[in-house]
Amino acid sequence: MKYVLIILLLFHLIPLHAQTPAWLKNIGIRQSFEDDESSQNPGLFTISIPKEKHASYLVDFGLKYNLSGPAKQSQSSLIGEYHRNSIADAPVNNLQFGYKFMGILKKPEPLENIFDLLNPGYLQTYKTLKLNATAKYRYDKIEGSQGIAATAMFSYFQQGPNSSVKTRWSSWNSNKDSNFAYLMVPEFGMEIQHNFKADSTIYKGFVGRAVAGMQISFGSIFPNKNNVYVPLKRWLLTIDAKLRYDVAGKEYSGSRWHPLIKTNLDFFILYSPVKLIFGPAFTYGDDPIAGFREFDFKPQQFWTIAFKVQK
Amino acid sequence: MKKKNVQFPSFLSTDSTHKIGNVALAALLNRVRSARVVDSKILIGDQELSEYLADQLGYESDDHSIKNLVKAAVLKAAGKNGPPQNLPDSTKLSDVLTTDAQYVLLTSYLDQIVKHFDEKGSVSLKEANSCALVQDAVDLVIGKIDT
Repeated sequence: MKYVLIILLLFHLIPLHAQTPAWLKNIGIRQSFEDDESSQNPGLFTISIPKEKHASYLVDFGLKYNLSGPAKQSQSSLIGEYHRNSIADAPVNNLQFGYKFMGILKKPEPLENIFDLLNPGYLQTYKTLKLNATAKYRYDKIEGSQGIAATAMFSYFQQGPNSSVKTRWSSWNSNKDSNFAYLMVPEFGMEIQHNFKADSTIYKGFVGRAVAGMQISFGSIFPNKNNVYVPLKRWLLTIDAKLRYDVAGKEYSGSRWHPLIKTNLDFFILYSPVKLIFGPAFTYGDDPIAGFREFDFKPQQFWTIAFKVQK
Repeated sequence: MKKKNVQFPSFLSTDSTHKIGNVALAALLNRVRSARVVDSKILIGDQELSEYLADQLGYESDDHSIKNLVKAAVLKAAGKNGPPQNLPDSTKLSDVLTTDAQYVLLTSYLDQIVKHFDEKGSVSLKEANSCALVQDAVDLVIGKIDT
């Protein structure tokens, strides 16, 4: 507990004594970088090292460094992810690093009249697909496998106007009183995995999968007295559901279907310089690239309560 | 020296892109028709045409300033409605704009604001993204228009 307090104090002191350096602005922290980064997906880690027994780990953590500066219509990044879990039924020990490309496929239409911006009822409609593509080297200690993995996921962004469009995709929505907010991020795409080396032939070879998913976050926010336009989050419930299907190549497990549901209840402790979150999480299913496998030919599941970080 | 039948530039037509009410526009055009040319200067009353129009269109007022227009652009890009005056200058853009697509939308708005006042001007995505605060975006646009 003492260390947690020291870390909290350090996070508070950083913005007081230093301007954020440029290299720090280019760093991102999440659980994984395959998805649209509009979604809520904090990295989490808990490590317990008892004196007499084996250490236990739960690490679901990814780091990103933007190569192309702040430009955001397309962005290249170096990414690394480490997934280690010794508390679930089937252990996970998986390292990935590689390259990520993010691209927004369509520019907004020009305004007919720029002074429409001053009209309180006006909101321009902007719809676009967004591509998140990764190419990674992958090492899985449990499988004894090494190989490559690549993903190409499309998400859909749609915003405004309120009168004719009831739903806004991949963009935060809040009610008039600024006490409730929600976000919905749909995704679809494909992933390929090729293990060119593995301890068992089961895990060796190529597989191509179709992927579809939806993330829904909703929760309580409260008005920020310093800025009415930036309400602060109190808690958020996030349900991230994905379904993968082995379309081509071999099967690494007994089933071609790979459902994955991650549910997180996040209580916000800090907003800056990183979001520090505490709360329970429930995971069900399997995620072959991340090394989260079926156990006894069934999707596995586990609960955690942990500190989480996102930037 | 007085001249009649002065040809006014096209932006003073009713197709003007300036957002003012029809009644106000009619009154403005009526007043502009009384303009006269004195020593190669177009005068309305005692004021030069450009000063008169700037006053009438309220560019220097709080509501219609470039600053307010940029703040409105930030809010609209974030999918928010509300008075732009209430958005503090010190607001971090990253607190209001939560996705990359919203930055793309903001860049488009800032670019169009600059182009409205200076056809040759432009704002790139890189320039818009280098703005950390709302005030940085205001300075960027005003700087582009002034040059």
